[in-house]
Amino acid sequence: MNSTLGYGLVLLGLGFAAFAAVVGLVTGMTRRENALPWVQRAVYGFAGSMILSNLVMVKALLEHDFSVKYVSQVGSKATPTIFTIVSLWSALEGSILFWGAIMGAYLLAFTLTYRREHGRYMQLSLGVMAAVATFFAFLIAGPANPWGVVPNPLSDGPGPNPLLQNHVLMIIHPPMLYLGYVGMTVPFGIAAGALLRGELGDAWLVPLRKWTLVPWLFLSVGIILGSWWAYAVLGWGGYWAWDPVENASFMPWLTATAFMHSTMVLERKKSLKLWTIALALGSFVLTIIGTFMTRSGVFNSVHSFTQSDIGPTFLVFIAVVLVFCVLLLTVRGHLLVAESHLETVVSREGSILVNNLVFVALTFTVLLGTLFPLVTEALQNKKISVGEPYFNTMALPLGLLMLFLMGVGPMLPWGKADPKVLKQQFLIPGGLGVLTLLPVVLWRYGAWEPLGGGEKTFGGFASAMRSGDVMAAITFGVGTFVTVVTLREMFLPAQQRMAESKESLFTAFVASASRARRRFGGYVVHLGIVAIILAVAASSAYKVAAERTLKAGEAMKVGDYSVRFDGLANGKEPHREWVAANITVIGPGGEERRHIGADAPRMNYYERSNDPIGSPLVQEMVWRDVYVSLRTYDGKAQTATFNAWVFPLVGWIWYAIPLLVLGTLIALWPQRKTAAAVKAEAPAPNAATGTT
Amino acid sequence: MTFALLVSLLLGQGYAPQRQGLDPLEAEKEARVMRLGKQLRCAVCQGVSIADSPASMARAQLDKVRELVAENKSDEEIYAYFIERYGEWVLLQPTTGGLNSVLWLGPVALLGVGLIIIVMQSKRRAAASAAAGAPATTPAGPAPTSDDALLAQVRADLEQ
Repeated sequence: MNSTLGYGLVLLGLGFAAFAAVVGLVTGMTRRENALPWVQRAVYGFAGSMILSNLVMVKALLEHDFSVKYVSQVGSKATPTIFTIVSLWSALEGSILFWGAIMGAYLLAFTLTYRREHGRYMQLSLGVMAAVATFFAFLIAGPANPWGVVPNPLSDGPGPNPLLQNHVLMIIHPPMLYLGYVGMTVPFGIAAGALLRGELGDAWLVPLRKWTLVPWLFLSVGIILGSWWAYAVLGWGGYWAWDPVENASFMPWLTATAFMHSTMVLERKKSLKLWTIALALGSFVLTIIGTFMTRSGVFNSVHSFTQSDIGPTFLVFIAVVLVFCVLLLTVRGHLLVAESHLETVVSREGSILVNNLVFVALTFTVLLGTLFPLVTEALQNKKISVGEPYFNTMALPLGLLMLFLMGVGPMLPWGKADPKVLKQQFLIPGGLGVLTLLPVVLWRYGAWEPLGGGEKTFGGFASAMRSGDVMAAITFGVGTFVTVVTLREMFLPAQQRMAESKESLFTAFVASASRARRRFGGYVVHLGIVAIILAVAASSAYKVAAERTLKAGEAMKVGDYSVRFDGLANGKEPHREWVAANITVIGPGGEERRHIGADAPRMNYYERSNDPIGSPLVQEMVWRDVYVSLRTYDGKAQTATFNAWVFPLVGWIWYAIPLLVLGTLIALWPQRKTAAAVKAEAPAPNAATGTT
Repeated sequence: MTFALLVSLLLGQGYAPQRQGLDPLEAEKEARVMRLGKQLRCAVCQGVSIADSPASMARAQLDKVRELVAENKSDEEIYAYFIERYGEWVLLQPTTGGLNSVLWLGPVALLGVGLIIIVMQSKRRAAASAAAGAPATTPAGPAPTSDDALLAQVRADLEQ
């Protein structure tokens, strides 16, 4: 019953999507704009059937209807209700079905938002998006069908992948990433529509920008939550391993970020049109390649629980999309003519251009590093690895350059800069940046230690460079520089208002911020990114590690903390059993915090998995985390072996999420169109656009 | 797994699938062990180094590194030991020779060529505008005066 209904809805969705794609593209190209309502209706139909089909699946999961193939794979009566619902995306077929629902929701939201727009603008965009939707609906209906019927259903199932049941973050991280991935379909549709039409005016640009920002935010949050999950669950003390799937999500994030910057040049200077469009297309292509990497099983990774044989179908789709993009860019690209050219690199547009170059170079590095083992295996039949050391070596200088540009860019004016003014502007932030280096260096040499947690052994310059120590100090210096510049740019307009019209700081600040929401929101996001970069630098260069086997009552030192082992304990939950090593973490001031049972580092045993899955104890504090992982235990001898770390500042990676959300929301908030605002906001030549 | 079995594992036969491993060496040598361990890939894990992996295989490999470091073997000798047994695959950071140079030089080349293009573009514009004796504006572009706002709005509306 559930199977028939769910599958029927998928087929219906496939029909609607195919109809919308064909009608949208054909009537869009032949400019018969009266067909638009039909495209819109088909999109609504697609969205409705996909979302309904997902609801039916949730119902089947909750009912433990093991006659449905997918439920028989991931369902179990012992699984807590919340994880039963979440298991909708805990394996391949379900996650592709869920993908369809998100696709439907995006297309629905986009179509509704612009339902009053002229057909000329919408039909092609919707047509392209619907074509992508058709592919995914086909995938759900065919190669990745979750609705198969099990002839003789069992009375219980194995339950979802244990790794996914281990932490509450697993409930939010995948949907966030899906929202990011799927959302890139919308800017892809708009960009492809613009190219098919051969024009790129403001009418295209504004939605293109906004609808890139939305998936960008979800992608950012999804990536950060994923790293948080890895940190809190996997127990090896890291949050980012340059795993192929992590790389897959990072690449579209990089190109979308580059897009967000180049679009400013496009708006201001009417140049970089083709480049910006290429970035929008590229971000989408990279999400599809990323999905392929996750789903095809070409790569072994933490995410390979979603392997299947949909690889070939995906490869064909990637090839089609790539050919489509290249054809579009070569055949229609010449229609997008730049209306101005770069005058000097030392300008806002120059810095954005260099920023774009660095982002693309990093994307290329990540792509190259991820795919290279496949290349050597194909060409030389030789297996090699490209792992963390390679990516760290390559990404560090590029990341530092990005950070630096984040400070330089906002300082530079559009067009030609006056060197004298520049020097003056650079002085304070630059000076403060250099000053920051001082305590860091002193601290590392053991002369000054208010922060604590640092090692005092310092094996000379070469080993310091290798350990990333000096690089981290430089990162802090540049980070301070960027923060000062950003805060100054945020408060300077308010200060001017206060001087001019005697407003209070708050009024002036709010008024100046709401005047230039996008710029202001961008700066808030920048502050969040700076926090993340500094947290990454500090937690990787200044971490302290220790590893020991303890008898009950013994303690080990890790940095300024000690960890005392208080004996083993065990417990039982409906879906798992566990063995925990009770510990007490003793802080620098002698304060003790006990961690017992479920709150202590432990090994979890799931019915479905032979190997135990550890969960570490993370004692989170504002400035540092104490992280204790149980590696082995011996029940007979009552000993346990621990890995313990102190990570300074690591929490700031995830604490930055609110800043990213806030900044993006400020930038996305619709500008009220008062007469004054229009006058102030719109420099005259900006509105006249396109080459039509 | 039943609870009784779990308890028996806990108290009885010593359920310890993971190796305990050797004790760390003195600080300086142990730092070297960790640095080398970071470069070597755990044979049974998924792209994790033997320094990071909790798997027993990785612990054993790390112990081997400890042994070799204790014997004062050079970095090259230690890498060679592992390459001989596991192939080049064991190095998380690929070597620089042969085809691998693409991996190392590719991004650098992209960055270099990109920078050259950007600088040349701006130089050319600067030269062109100097020759014309005027600030470089687009010949075809409308002059940015405030009167154009209305015109621009009309154009934008027409475009819709």
